Amino acid sequence: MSNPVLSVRNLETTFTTKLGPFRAVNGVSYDINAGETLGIVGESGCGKSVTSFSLMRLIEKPGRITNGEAILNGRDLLKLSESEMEQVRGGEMAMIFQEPMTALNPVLTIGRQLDEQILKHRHVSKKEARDRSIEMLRLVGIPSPEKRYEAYAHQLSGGMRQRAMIAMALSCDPKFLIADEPTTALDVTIQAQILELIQDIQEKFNMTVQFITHDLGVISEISDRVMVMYGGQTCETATAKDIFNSPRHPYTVALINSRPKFGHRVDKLQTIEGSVPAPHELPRGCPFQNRCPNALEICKTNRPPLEKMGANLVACFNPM
Amino acid sequence: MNDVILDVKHLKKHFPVKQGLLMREVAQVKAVDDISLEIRRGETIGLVGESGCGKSTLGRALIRLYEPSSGAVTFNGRDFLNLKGEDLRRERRNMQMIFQDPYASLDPRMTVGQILSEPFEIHGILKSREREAKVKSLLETVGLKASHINRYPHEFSGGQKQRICIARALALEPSLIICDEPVSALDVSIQAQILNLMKDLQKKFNLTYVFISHDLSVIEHICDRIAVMYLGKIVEIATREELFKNPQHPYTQALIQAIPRIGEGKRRIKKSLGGEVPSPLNPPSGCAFHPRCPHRMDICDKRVPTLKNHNPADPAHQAACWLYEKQP
Ligand SMILES: Nc1ncnc2c1ncn2[C@@H]1O[C@H](COP(=O)(O)OP(=O)(O)O)[C@@H](O)[C@H]1O
Ligand SMILES: Nc1ncnc2c1ncn2[C@@H]1O[C@H](COP(=O)(O)OP(=O)(O)O)[C@@H](O)[C@H]1O
Ligand SMILES: [Mg+2]
Ligand SMILES: [Mg+2]
Repeated sequence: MSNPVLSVRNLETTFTTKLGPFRAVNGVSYDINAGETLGIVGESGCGKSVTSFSLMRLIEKPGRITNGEAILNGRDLLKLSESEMEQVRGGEMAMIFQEPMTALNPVLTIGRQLDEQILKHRHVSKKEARDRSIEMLRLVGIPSPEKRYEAYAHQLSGGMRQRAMIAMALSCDPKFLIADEPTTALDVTIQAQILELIQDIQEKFNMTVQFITHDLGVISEISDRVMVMYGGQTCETATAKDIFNSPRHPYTVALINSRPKFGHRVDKLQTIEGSVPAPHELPRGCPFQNRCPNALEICKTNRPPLEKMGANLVACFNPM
Repeated sequence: MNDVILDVKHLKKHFPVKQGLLMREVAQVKAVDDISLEIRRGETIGLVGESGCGKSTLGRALIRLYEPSSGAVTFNGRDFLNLKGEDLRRERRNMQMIFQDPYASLDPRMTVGQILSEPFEIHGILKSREREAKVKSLLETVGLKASHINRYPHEFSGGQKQRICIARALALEPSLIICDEPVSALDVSIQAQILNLMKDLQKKFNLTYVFISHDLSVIEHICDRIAVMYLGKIVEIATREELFKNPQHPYTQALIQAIPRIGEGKRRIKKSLGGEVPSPLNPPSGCAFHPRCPHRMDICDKRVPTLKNHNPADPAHQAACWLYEKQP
């Protein structure tokens, strides 16, 4: 077994709202190996973003990380001081988002932001920072980078803004990148451009990636392994091939069958009855029990542990 | 057989771009630029293309939610663009629209009962007792419960809200529904419920759908025929089978290549198309696609290719591309 770059154990993040506390991430564990891409997929509200923000230690009130560890290259991120975390964020690990303006400042030029990011993490001169900024803009495929260096985010198209954000995230050679729905707002053509770019850079710098999306097609093409989440928990983890070709968890199966598959047209899609319960209404036991065709009595009371079944890891008392 | 419900000829919708203190018109966005199209009764015709290519504008112009700049639309055999007053109102009942965002299209202060009664009030149809019965049956038609009638939109999930929008669109028993990205904001499992519902309703009421989506997997699932748009023009139109099996236009080919495939395992992703859609304010000369086209030839930046058939074996298939023309 290779040593994982990231090892998450029993991660638990709780939000305390008017309706009481609920665990948006409820005991999630996974590893990501060096150079690997782990795809995390699931419908909205299942805890994908909260998992990522927890690793980045960007959870704000009324949320709190209430349990677990997240070992990145031997250090538990959840135990670092805020100032240590400042150095890790944008240095050893970085994150990109669906909405580039989450990471870009509208009143500073792209170049200025890149320079600041580099100067914060590297002992280099201003001139060197500038050279590196322009190099980064070139690397992410922004045409005439010297000109764009002087531009503000609003002067760029959607696709170019996405690239600028990626340049920011990658400016200090992170070894671990979290990509949270980075192509969700883009047209398929631009999506393919951005995915190609992420793969290129990953290969070039042997980066480890946690890639989040609700799009089963994207997850299928970009991931080495896939983790399916529901109600703040992991349902199933397997290689990208196995998760789609031999899924075991009833939710994984239902999710895959409800998506129109290009080139494999069916007359009627399979559906999952009902909708995802609100977080404070999640039942005891398995979160999927009330929509599950395979549910047993035990599912109402006990939480199924994540166990090896064939090549997959599955949390289910009555798998397919 | 060939029962045309909507016959569109040379339709244009140009938006003025105004600037300065006097708001003088400085340019025009040719959002829909000379589109001709026959839509057949009972079919689902898809409109696809990158954002900004004019799908929504075309959808709205077809039913005069946007007043077209020029062209002709014949609806059920009548000259629709010249209808006025009562005639227009009556014909409009036959055409409805469903939008992407069910949150924005339902008034939060109205109960579902009020929302669904509104079309009858506006058109002065049915007495109030009958209205309630009709509203309840509409709710059941779209898979909700009659007992939901007194609830407010916020009490429903996203998928249920879209069902309410569909119920409202069905109220006046239309024959044509323009569906503008109706499932794009919904989760996968909810998308499937709504897509199945829309198919069932189409069979039941012999509905014609114009289905707009940027998601080609959804388009393949639901459409019988598909028109591919680029900068305000249709560049290719064909039946579903032919469009996906034998795409002719390089733009269509690139779109299809870019669709993420499910279940084939990780692959090295290669972009199928460089660059971005150019500004519609300043569209490229000749074929508007030529700056991004991998097959561009000398003629492509000089003359606009016409949309026409290039394969007699598949007469319903048309593309606007110089590759298939004998060059002058
Ligand atoms: N700041 C917050 N306050 C309260 N609840 C939150 C907050 N952020 C996220 N949540 C809740 O946590 C759950 C998981 O959210 P998230 O991780 O964003 O889902 P997704 O899988 O769509 O990224 C959801 O139920 C969401 O409503
Ligand atoms: N009300 C409007 N006023 C001015 N320009 C508009 C208006 N609506 C759309 N446009 C422009 O028309 C073009 C086509 O837009 P749209 O029909 O919304 O495209 P799509 O639905 O394919 O994304 C775009 O360039 C858009 O900016
Ligand atoms: Mg999210
Ligand atoms: Mg649109």
